[in-house]
Amino acid sequence: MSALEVLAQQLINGLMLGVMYALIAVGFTLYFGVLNIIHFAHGDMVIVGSFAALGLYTVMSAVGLSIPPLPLLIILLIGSSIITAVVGVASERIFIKPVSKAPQIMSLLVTLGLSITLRESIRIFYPRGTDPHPYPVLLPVGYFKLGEVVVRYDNIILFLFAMFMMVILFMIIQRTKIGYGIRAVAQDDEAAKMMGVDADRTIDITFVIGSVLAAVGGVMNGIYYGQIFFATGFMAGLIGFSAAIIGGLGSVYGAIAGGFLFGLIETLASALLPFGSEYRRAIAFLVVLIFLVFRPQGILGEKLSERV
Amino acid sequence: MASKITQRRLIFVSFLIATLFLTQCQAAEGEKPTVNLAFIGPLTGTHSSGGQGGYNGFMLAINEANADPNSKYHYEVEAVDDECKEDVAVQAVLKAATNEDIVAVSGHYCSATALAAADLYHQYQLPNVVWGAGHPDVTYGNDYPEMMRVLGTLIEQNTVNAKWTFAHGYKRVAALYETSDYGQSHFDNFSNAFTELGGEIVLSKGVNKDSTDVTAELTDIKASNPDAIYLGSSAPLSIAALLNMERLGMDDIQVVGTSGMRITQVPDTAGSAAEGAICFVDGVPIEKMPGGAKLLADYEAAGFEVEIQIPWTPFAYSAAQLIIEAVEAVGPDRVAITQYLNENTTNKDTVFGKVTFDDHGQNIEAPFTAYVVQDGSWVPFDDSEYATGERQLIPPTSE
Amino acid sequence: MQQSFGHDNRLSFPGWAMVLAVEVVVFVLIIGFLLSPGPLFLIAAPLVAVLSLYLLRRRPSTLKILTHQFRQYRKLALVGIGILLLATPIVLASNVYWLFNLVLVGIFLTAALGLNLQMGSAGIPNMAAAAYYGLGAYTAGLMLTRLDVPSELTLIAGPAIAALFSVLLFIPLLRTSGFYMALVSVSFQIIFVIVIENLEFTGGPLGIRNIPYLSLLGFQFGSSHNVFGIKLPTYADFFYLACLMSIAALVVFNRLYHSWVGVTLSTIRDDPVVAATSGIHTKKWTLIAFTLGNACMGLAGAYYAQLANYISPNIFGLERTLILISIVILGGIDNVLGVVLGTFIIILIPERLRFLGDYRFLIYGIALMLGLILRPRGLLPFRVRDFGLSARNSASTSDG
Repeated sequence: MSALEVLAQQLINGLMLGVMYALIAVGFTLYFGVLNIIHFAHGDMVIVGSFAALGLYTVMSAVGLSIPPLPLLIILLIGSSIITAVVGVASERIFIKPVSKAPQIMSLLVTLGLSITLRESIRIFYPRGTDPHPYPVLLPVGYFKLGEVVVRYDNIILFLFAMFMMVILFMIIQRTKIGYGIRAVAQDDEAAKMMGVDADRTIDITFVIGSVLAAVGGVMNGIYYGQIFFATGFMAGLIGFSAAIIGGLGSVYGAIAGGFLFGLIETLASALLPFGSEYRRAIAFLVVLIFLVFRPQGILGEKLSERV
Repeated sequence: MASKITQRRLIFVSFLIATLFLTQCQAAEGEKPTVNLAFIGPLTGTHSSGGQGGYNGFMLAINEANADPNSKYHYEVEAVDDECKEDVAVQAVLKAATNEDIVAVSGHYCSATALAAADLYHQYQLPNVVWGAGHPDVTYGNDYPEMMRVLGTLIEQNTVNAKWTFAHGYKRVAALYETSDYGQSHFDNFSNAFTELGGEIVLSKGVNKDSTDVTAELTDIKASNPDAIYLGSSAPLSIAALLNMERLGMDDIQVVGTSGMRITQVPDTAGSAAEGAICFVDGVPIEKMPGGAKLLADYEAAGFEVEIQIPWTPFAYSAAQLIIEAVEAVGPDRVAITQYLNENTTNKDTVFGKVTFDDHGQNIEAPFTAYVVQDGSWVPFDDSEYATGERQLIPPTSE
Repeated sequence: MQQSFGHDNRLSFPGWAMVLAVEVVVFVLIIGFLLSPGPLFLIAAPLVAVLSLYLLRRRPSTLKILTHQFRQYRKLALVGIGILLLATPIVLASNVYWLFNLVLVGIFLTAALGLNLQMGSAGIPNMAAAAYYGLGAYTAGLMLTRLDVPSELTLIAGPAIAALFSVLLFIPLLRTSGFYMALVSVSFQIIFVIVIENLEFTGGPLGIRNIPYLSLLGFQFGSSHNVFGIKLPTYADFFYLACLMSIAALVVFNRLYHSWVGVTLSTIRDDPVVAATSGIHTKKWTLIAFTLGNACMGLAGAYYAQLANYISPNIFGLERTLILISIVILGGIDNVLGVVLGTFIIILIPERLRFLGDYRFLIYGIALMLGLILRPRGLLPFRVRDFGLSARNSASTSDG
């Protein structure tokens, strides 16, 4: 491989990693935009989505249903979205909403508790939950080569689909009636109520959308890495959170940009710096720290109205 | 009024406490004198299958001794969970060590836990026959007679690995290893042995052990054009690396790995990406162990929740065998057991083969076996179709 | 009428007896909970504790009488606690394991008090607590094994280095608030673990082994001692010093809480705008609270290193931060006594309930969430400071 080919391959690696992070980051942005909370369990919700689809797949193959890959993928996406949405809305109603008006630190801690609970529940209640699980092959696996650079068909599909999902989310928030409601509640829920927006329903809808995002992210993660493991959600969530903040909390495009930035930093740090592979994550978080110092509002965020 | 109620309540509570204290008294019974042992390992958490597999092996040996009418003692085992965490291990070992009834321990799966607690074993003169932790320093990093080990060290494992790899024509090797005590030690020992033989480590990349995406590192490795990749990682990172390699179209490079890979989850999870991967494991295949067939049958019969873990189940079983023999010979005394085990463990027959402790309590007769993934399961290399020539390993590129 | 009745009756049940009885009952419950082999005490002790907490809450009059008695017989109460603490190692002589765990309680209490000052009083969500704890431990470990520095010095250097490293986060902390502060500290936490795991200087993933036991002014810790003919078990020395350390921290933080510093910090936490307009240097006080809290964690870490003889990166990961945070939350944010209760619960109960095995963390997560929802202010909630103005203050008890 020539140096240029290596760089091109690394860019592909970085973009794929980035799109995975971005999918999680937009979830953080969504929750923050509406409820002003950081949903620390969002990373674990992604894993819930991933396992929900795998469980469905296992059940379907156990009863002998054989469906061609594409319809199967759609069924799994819908099924896993429904399961994840039920978990998401239930946890919102029971645990998150009671503290949504309390100081920020309370919702942060409740969702931390939720994160532990979800993770441990998968480990204990999913059959052989402690082991890594292989993920079904749902997309064409072939690849073509540009010189020595390997470009896989499923990478292209995953990438485009993720971007499509995130643009759809943006459209929903910006252009639809639901989106107006969400943004109204985000700005001032009492005023929104007076204008006839059902705040409770809007919050539920937000969690449904967030959970569907988590489910889609989970399935795509499983397909891309070929495996899932119960413990990976927390770090993924933390990175998603960081990416959302780098991008500017509350901004969908910012979260996407943040995700890509995080993915590219990790990949390029590993590729270009001596001892980069050991320190890649430390370098990425160092960049987060620098961002917080020099541009706390993020890449695309609005200027914070700094109190005091 | 209020304080009258308080007063009554206080009396009631103290009465309650007194009753509870009285009911705590328990009578001991049993004909043979009871000897207490402890088993320490990761019984919960990510490494629990290894820990449970070891515990079951240990208990099989104990139950056999208890059923034996000729044994002088009845053995009780306290299972203590170290969760594979260093600070928990310190507490776990302390729990066993400060319980004066416990006379010997077989402990630890993760090397870091064994190293964290080594001082305590010595301080409390508690003999420990390690059943699963392979870091050289567990036995060689101290002069404690209490620390003994039935399995070989990572030095030997990697020497065997390096020789095999070099002999099969893989002269330029790139390494991907995890920056844990496990991965770091594996890589260092492999790298030493391999360069001594005249091989070259063309590139080495250390990554966090929790990584799922190592495509960046693997792309660099691919660009370095090695003959083979050495994976210095336990199962999770090995799986991630194999799957990432497939994604990058790196199916033309041979993989050699460590004993941590040899669990069924690796071929189960990585699927076709794991085909043809090689790893090196302590001990001989269970079918070739002197007591292997019986152990396998007993294990199946006992109906444990966790399937048999090779080689950890036989190692824990043999550790129990050695401890029981020592207790039967010298009685339940920590110092005497330590001395007996150190002095008399020469050419001892155990379930997996011979055991001879050197002056550091290290078994020097621990053999290693190469395994290869063939059709989705680990097969001893010598029995595989790769050895007979029906299948080919991926040839080194530099030839 | 009720009040005066209570006063009359109190004479029949002398106050000093009540004080001592409460202390002895708590002591017996804790020791019984730790030592009893059967399940009875295991269930009974927490049950009694929960029940009495509940009853005290329902009947503020009883609580008032109790607090009154403790105030009145303050010296006796302190002497009682002192004697019970002195006796603990003797009671636990054959169960050194639990004595060790009580030492850990002292260490975590010290660290958690530091975190409580940051998180509870000043409202800084410090998610790098374990990193600062680790900085203290690594400072002590490296000084003792590489530089051969006397042990006494490490107990000063540990907190000093932790305080020094606080400066690294000053600028990001000053420029951010709320969630951003959480992210600043969590980033530092992650970077810290990666760096100590990969630097050869810090021993890499294996950390530092063979750290000598603590020794102070020629007195060597970590062995059994004979004092006045009584044979004290191993770790008794560590236990006494841990008691001293955590009690000193308790006294300092209690004083701080009741002083104008505590009021200042709470004002900054609850309403920075009001704080600023009242002429409070919010930034100065945020930084002071952050540094002082981290120094406490550093001290706890330095002590732990010389107790366990072994430290490695895994011990100082994010998981440890979460444990420290849970301690502060469970007991009651911004409540010094609550931190004591929280430490006992979080450190001892999971250790005792090991038979729960795999379900331990699940229960932990659920308990944390339920606790936050049902008792958002913790088991022992925030009390309004009593400056002798209790009547006027009672109007503003509802603190958000």
